[in-house]
Amino acid sequence: MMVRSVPPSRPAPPALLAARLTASDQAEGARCVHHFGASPQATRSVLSDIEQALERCGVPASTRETIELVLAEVINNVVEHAYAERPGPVELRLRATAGAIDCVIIDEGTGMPGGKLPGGTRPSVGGALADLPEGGFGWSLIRDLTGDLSYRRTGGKNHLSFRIPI
Amino acid sequence: MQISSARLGDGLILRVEEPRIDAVVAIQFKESMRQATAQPGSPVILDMENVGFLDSSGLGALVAVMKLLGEERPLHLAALRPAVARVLRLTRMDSVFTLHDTVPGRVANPQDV
Repeated sequence: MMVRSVPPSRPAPPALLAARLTASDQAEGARCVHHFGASPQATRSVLSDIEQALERCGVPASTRETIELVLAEVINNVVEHAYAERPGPVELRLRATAGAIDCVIIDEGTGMPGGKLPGGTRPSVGGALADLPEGGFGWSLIRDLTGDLSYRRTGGKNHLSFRIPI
Repeated sequence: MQISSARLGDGLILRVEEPRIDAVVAIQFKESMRQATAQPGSPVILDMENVGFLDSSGLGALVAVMKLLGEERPLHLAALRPAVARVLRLTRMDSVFTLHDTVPGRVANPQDV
């Protein structure tokens, strides 16, 4: 699968990618858009690109780790559930402001069951060894680490958006 | 997935030689651990010093390995990096695995073994 970064639609002055954001940048936000084919390997590649871009923007390491984990969980859900391991396009939009990273992930796969977000209840881990869950952690992690999580389906596409505070 | 091993007393120390346990390698990790734990030793202490990233797929793989080993061979985790420790904490799995700050035998401190 090809991984490429699509540059913003207007030329970005170097300041947008520098460690300090100007007042107008803080209002508008440094943006980037990634298009890639859904697969675990492509996910790694995109996460690596984003990690480097956020580091250049001066986003602290702990926030970058949060973003990496949340994006991994969200994209893994697209790979495994929306596309059921089949190929399919994913669009990832990030906007960095002084206080947060806003993310939108768009895919063309199957919609969420019932048309809404999973509840994200944390799986119970207090029982016997043989009963320990091996899955179902993803949505509770996403909910723990994001704000303004929302989902809508429109035009045959899934839109998932959330915010991660810096 | 590369996992190196060493005995320490009754225990088996396995060092993960890869930087990520994620959706890409979760299945291989389980298989590599199955092979690495074919040799005896208990507890099994997994040195996670090299692992900078663990997602829910990786966590599921760790749980699967712990179940595979069974009650008789506890799975411990050592030298967790902050991002990995946080996943265990958020999921409350830090209360299920025995955690070590450092790998036993790595420091000259008899109480650590």
